[in-house]
Amino acid sequence: MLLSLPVMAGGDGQEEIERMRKEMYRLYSTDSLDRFMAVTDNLKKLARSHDNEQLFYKAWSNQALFVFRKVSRSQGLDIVKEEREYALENDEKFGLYAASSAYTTMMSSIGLIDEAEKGLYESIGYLHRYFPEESAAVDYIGLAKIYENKHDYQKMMECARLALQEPNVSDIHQVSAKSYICVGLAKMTKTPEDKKRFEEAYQDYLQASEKYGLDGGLSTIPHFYHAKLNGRYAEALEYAKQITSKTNRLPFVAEGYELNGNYRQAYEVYKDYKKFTDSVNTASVMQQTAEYALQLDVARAENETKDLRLANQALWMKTAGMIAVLTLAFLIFYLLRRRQQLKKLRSAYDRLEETTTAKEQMESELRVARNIQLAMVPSKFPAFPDRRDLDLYASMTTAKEVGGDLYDYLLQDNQLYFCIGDVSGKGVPASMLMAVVVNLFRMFAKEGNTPAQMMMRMNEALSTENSNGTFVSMFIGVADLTVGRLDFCNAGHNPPVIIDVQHPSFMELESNVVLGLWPEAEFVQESLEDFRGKMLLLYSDGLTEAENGWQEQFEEARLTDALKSHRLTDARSTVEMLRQEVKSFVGNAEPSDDITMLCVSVGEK
Amino acid sequence: MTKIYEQDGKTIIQTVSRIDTAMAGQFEQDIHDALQKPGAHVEIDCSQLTYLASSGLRVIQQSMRQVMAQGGTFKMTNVGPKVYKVLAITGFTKFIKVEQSL
Repeated sequence: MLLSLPVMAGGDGQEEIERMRKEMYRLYSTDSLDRFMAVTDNLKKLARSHDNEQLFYKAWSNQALFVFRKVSRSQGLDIVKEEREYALENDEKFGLYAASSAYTTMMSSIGLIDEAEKGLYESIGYLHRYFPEESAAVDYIGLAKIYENKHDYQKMMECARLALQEPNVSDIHQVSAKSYICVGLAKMTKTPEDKKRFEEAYQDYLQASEKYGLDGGLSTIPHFYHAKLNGRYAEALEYAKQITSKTNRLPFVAEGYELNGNYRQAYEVYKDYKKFTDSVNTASVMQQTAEYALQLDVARAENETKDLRLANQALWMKTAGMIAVLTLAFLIFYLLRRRQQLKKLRSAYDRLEETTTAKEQMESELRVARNIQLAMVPSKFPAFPDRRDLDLYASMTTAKEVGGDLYDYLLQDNQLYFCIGDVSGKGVPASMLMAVVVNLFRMFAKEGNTPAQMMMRMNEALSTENSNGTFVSMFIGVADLTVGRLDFCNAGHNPPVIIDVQHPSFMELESNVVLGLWPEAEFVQESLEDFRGKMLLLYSDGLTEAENGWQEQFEEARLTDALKSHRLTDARSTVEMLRQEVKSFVGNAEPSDDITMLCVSVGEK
Repeated sequence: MTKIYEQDGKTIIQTVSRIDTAMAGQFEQDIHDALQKPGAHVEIDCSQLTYLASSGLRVIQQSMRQVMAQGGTFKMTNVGPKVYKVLAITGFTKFIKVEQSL
């Protein structure tokens, strides 16, 4: 049924606007698409006619987000693009802000967390600079959500508190921020004092929620925690069942059953949850991630030109022509290059290989490939400065003709996920696929999959529509830092070296097939009961196949010899020592492949 | 040069000694026509092969897929220890018939 909300003619506009604004936020947390769209469409018209630029764009962004969440991602993206174009055309700063703010929220929900985090901080900075009287609460809440996903509850609460300190925070954002504070305190409750703080925050949330008739987007989750912390487990379960979003609901329902001692039911729900997240994150995710990443880059280019335009408004008359040309040239250049990469990557690259005259262009392509690759792997070491029981170091030396090596690691719930991999082929196509693989690794690790599950799902994703036979060899390990156990799965990668008190040996492992070629392949997982005190060295074949001027390869034997003849104190010195060894072996010869190493040891030294 | 000939109803493809990144494209071109025949029994004779890079593995896998899709058979024969090690580590031996040389 459509709620009719006629646009009032005449002077009574302000009240009507205010009523519809409230209605918009109320409907936002419902599923009534038709009503929400009708209200926001009317609100846009009214706001426009009353010169309320801010509200006009807020309504538009809300439409985009609503559609993105409840109808389709691509339609949501389309709406936000339209909004941005409109704002650019009319040169309205708030529109640009509102569109990019909605955009980063979308990035966040498709798993491009780091991008979204960066984008949100940029949005906040932008708003504070140009519209100090406007509230950036929505962006802080976006950040809170990101930190919730990252299980960083301290930061989550910090952002929620910052949201509340913004000027003129709207009702829904107040309730939202308070609900995040509530959840954060619940997560960190250990002592009776903690619980008291939680109770206060909960009452505060409850008051706000009742006052405005809103739940703040977290549905009944705060009530769940309140019941749980007060030992009312049956009630907690009931609240869990009422959570509106399915992704949120299932794990809470599982926890609810567990609290009530119904482990069988908890297990069933948890299985459902896995199945559901699997169906959400199907093979198409791979393509989507790549597509969205590209769109995001385009958005960033637009943002840069946007800043350029705004900063130069005063000098507009003089420099308008020049800026327009520059902006246009930059955009065209950027879009063309992107398009070329996306659509004609392979053929363009093949052509490049053949054309020696296009040397310059080739070098710029190679630079692109190298930049993509280096941007995707973590390079800040020490990786875990505040962990004495965890020593990890990695290095990647890219060859002139970039290969597709990758490594990554992630610490979550005291489990260290780490991997190394090698994408077949070279140059831009290999580095693009490498970026996709790293994203998939992060996503599957965050969901807490086992190494074999991760391999299986990556293989599924990479095998779909893989007509040119590109593949990836990969080793994934998960070290449980509490008990020192190491689970791992090797998909066609060269066996790592395990070093037990100066005694290096190649691990003997199941040779599962490389990823991307056989969708039906199965993956066997293996484990070491106690891995503490040992050092594990993962490497790519660029290391053992490095050639000197006489076409001799470095080979496995030189690798183990080097490890035996040096005192190995920590991960960093081990990797750096090997780099030196290879470097002096290769001499002046041109390296033909990337050389990547990752060394890790766990347990107190 | 890749040698291709028919013998006892089989299509024998004898590779050169190295299929590395630079050579893989040539190899793919060389064998393209030989793979077109439906129901062909293709044998990749690896007696000369001492080095097989990942780009070469790609060509092998694509060829096998094509031959099998056309109802043919596909195997690699006379595979030396170094190349066999590559095929084993990458798990190819699980999906492609590989006969080692003595």
